Amino acid sequence: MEPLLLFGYTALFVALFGYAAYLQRKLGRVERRLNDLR
Amino acid sequence: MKWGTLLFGTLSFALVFGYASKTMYGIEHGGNLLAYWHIALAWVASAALGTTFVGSVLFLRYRGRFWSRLAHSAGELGFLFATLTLLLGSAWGKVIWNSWWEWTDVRLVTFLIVWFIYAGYLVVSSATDPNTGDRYTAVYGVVGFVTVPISYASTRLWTPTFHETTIGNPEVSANIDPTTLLVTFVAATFLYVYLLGVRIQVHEVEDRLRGLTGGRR
Repeated sequence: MEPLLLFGYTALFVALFGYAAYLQRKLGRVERRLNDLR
Repeated sequence: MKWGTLLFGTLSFALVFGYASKTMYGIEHGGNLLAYWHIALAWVASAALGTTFVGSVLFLRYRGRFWSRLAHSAGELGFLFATLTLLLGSAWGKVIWNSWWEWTDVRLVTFLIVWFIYAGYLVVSSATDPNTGDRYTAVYGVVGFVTVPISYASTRLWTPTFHETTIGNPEVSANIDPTTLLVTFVAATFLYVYLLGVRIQVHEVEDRLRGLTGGRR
């Protein structure tokens, strides 16, 4: 596989999966805090 | 949405790597396969920034907190997609133009302006108080959107150098497979809607949390 192709799609995967994982973790954290406060 | 993203995402990559031609503009190179997600990301970035515009207008009109959550969530996603569009486009440009960046290309420069405008939108949003400052962010979201259609129409408004007008142009020379592109568009749209839903949910829970703690974060 050409380095440019590898670089492009690796960047895409890392950014998108990283952002999705960040959102899920953040959601879990704020939901836990909300339940604790209740 | 999650399963739609997975299904169409898998199908898109199967088509990109197994079916689509590596030859574009007469150049045979694997890097040409970046074009499919580059174009689809540009589409979802525009859709997201359009959502920010609509959410901002509706917030200014009706003042519902939902609209500002929608506008901010879409703005954040639009910025992410625009960043990836630039990154993949730059790598693809290295293949077909033998250059990472061309300041003479009107689409590139206007899209970079869009990117800076929405970086500014996120800065304004994070610098203002969510209870009182949403109005400023919304006004910025409305005014800043002007750059998006300008960037889209730039190849028609000014003489294109590298990017060519694609939609409605019978002389378009990029050898892009329409089926692969369509499937990739669907995958990117599913991904956008899924991420937008989760981001709005995070905002909702944060707002409830802020209500319980009296504004403390």
